[in-house]
Amino acid sequence: MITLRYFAFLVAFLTLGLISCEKALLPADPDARPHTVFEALWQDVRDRYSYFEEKQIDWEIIGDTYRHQLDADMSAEILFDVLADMLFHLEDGHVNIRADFDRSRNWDWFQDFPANYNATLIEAHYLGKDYRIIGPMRTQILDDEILYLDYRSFAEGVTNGNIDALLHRTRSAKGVIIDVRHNGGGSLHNALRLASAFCENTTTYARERIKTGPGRDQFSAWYDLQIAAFEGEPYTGKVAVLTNRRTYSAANFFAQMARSLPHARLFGDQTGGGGGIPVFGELPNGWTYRFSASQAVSPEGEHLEFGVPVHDQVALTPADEQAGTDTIIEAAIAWINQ
Amino acid sequence: MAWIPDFKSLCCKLVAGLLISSTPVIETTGQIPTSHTLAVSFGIQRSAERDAGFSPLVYAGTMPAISVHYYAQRQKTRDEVHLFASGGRLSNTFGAEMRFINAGIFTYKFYHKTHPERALQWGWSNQNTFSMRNFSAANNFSPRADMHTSFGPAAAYRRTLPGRFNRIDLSVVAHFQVIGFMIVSDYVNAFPSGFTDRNRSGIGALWHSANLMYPGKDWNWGIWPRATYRLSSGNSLSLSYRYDLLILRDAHRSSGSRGQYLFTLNMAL
Repeated sequence: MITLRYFAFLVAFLTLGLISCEKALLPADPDARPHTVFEALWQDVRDRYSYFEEKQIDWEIIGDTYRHQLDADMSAEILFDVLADMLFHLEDGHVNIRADFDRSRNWDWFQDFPANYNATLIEAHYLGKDYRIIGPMRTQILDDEILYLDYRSFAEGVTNGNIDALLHRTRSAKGVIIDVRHNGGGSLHNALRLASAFCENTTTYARERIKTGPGRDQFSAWYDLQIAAFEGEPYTGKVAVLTNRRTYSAANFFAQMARSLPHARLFGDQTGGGGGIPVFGELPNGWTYRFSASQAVSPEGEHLEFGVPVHDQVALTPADEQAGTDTIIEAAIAWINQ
Repeated sequence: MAWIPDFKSLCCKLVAGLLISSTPVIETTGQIPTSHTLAVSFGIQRSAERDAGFSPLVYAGTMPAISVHYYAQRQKTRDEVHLFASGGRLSNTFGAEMRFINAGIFTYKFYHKTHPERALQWGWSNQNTFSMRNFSAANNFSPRADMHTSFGPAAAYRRTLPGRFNRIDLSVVAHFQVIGFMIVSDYVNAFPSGFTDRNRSGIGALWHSANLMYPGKDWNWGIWPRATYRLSSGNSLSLSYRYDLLILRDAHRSSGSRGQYLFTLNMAL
């Protein structure tokens, strides 16, 4: 039988003994030595990155190459560069490692291509001074009663009220030009909300699957990505969507949505891609990273990771640019006026 | 391996039966309660959480905690129901933050034959607990979450101090749980595995998300030392420290070490 004295001691011991020990009762954080940090990143990418097969990347060889560059005494900056160089091989704009002093990236998907975009020209010759700002969109009625819509980042939210205002502006328009060149993405919900304003019937625009295990082929089943039919009266006239190589991620998905609408047509250059949703992670030294962990394909089976092709390949010519004309906008205007 | 779904189905039904039969809420065995007590607690919770689905690092911090308790003393049993909730910001050693929410219901049933004053009592415990971790650095597949319902043995030991301290009761309640169900965030997706395939929905998705907790893989234990001062009105005040350690292993391992410092007002009904 436990005596009262022992029991009182036990209560006091348990209370005082456990107090403030919550963290101590979990295993300690892993060390932040270069090898530990490297392996944490390399293994997570090996297990959860979604495009090894499609990009023909041998991650084992890449890991061996950069593992040999590790040194127990290397500085944080040099370790960062090793990890950044390793991740560069994934050729993916959705792959970054972030430290307080830098963020790695691979921007070859647009840096190796013509810009096909001149913001100053658009402001001076198409938007003018009296454009309307509807939420994140700048809109202007061009000559010939065509509504020009400039949306540079899907990170900026669009509301139902914005969509209603936008549709109100389209009532007398013979066509709409949606310019998502240099739109690096943001929230897919904003892209979907905008696309829905031009969608009469619910439309499947792509299929997606997410990694569900460490195996190369461990994915969920493919499921449909759809644009919901607009609850109201959508705009069903001609819609021209302008893209370039910096149209990326959610904007890349928006381009694919537009491709799926029967009255929409894409102009400019193909998009930069970004078909995988990035998953985020943290390393033992506190640096964070992200990489694609899903795949998306068009209804025809083409991976959106490699960009969405346009219907009409049009380049912004230097001569037009100098003359104050955007070749791609003019091509869209010509199509709408046909 | 066609037998695996059937095996899972069978095990799930068995465990579900155990959990339902263990739940002491609204006892209908014909025992008339000899006393009821309702209690409200306020305090703080110190949490240390690790979710390998995002980070190998522990996120720790202090947050407000609140709980409501109900006790029913019967001729042969004592039932306890505890509803608790806490939430706040945790951070790792590098200052990165995570918003954490933890809530659930905990039940105990202790057996004492016909001697409620018996110091040591054995019984069963059951909990249904939900935790959500929203990492500020994760823009997609976030927040990650887990919900588990588990079952296991429990013990309580109570003594009253002698002499002029005889208004003070000391008690310790402890439990250990290793079987049950859990529904946790998927390998990549924040949603449970059954919902990663969006072709499923509702009950079907929930069913495919449920996984078993079993010995050697998942476990939870807790201990709750308490000092209670009985007032002459029949009510009482308690000071307690409730500690709970939870390990869940599914697509990723998640663990939580939580301690609540509670001040409780107990009201006899």
